[in-house]
Amino acid sequence: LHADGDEPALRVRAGGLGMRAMFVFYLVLIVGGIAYVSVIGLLHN
Amino acid sequence: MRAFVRHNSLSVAFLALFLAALVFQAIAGHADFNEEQDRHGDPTISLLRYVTSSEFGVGVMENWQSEYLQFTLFILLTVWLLQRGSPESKELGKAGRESDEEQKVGEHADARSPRWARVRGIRRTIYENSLLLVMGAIWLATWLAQSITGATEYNSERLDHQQDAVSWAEYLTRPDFWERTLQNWQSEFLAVGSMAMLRWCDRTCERRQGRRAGGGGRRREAAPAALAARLVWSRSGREAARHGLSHRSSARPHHRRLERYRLRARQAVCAARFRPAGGGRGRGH
Repeated sequence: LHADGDEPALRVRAGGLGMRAMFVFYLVLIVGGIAYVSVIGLLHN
Repeated sequence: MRAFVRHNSLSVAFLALFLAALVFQAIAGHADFNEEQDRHGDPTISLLRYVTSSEFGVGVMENWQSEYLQFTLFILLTVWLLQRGSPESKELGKAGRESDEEQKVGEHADARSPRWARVRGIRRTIYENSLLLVMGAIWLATWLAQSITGATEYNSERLDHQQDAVSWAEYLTRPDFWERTLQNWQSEFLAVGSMAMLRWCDRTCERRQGRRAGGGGRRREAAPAALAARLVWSRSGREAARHGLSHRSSARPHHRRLERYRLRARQAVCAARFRPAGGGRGRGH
């Protein structure tokens, strides 16, 4: 099975999953960073 | 793995640069902190203690908040404000929000559009403004975190000098908070303004070169940023992956012209670090 172009569909899907993983990773990184700094600010207060 | 790197090289590269810079910031900040301790005859601290200190936290957050403010303002202001000739801007005369038809939402959405693009009410409003909402929320959260950890750092300095601590609300009125904030804002505003102007020059030159090469000097249409600006996952990520694009830009991938626009918008991101995924076109952020 192939996608519309010349790339195998499975590889295309894997690429999509990778992008989704990066998207989620960035969000987690941002939220985690904000939470981390807030917590150390509050704990040392 | 090769497909992953090919599809995500930009985000992976920036992630690696971010982590490397953060590590070196921690190392350099730790050395600087201990030098200061030595000068005052105070005991030095470990690197682990330093990265859990308010000194390190406020240094990180004051930069984060200014970056996200920059994105938020850029997305918002490019809906109404224009810069003639700049690819960061819409064309003259197209200021303002776009119609549902242009945005392909509501009754103009197609079968492959995300569900929230087809419905009415609050869900569609969120979908239409998703990038702006996310960037704005991150900016406010980082600014809040800066103020919390900045107040702690400020108070530790005051206690060192036998002064009373101030409350968080009081800290917001202190020059220290605003100096930390504005020193970052001014640089971001200058960077965005110069980006719009310097890219203008670049594009004008490109157009001239196109004419000389017999390209007919055809006027390029500005990248329709809003069409690539939604943060909502679409069902057509497979198509987006085929074009090397992010899922969030693939609301209507069947439309060849729009794909070209999106690809151009992505290329602009490669050339300009703060070019958001189509920063602000009409209702599509």
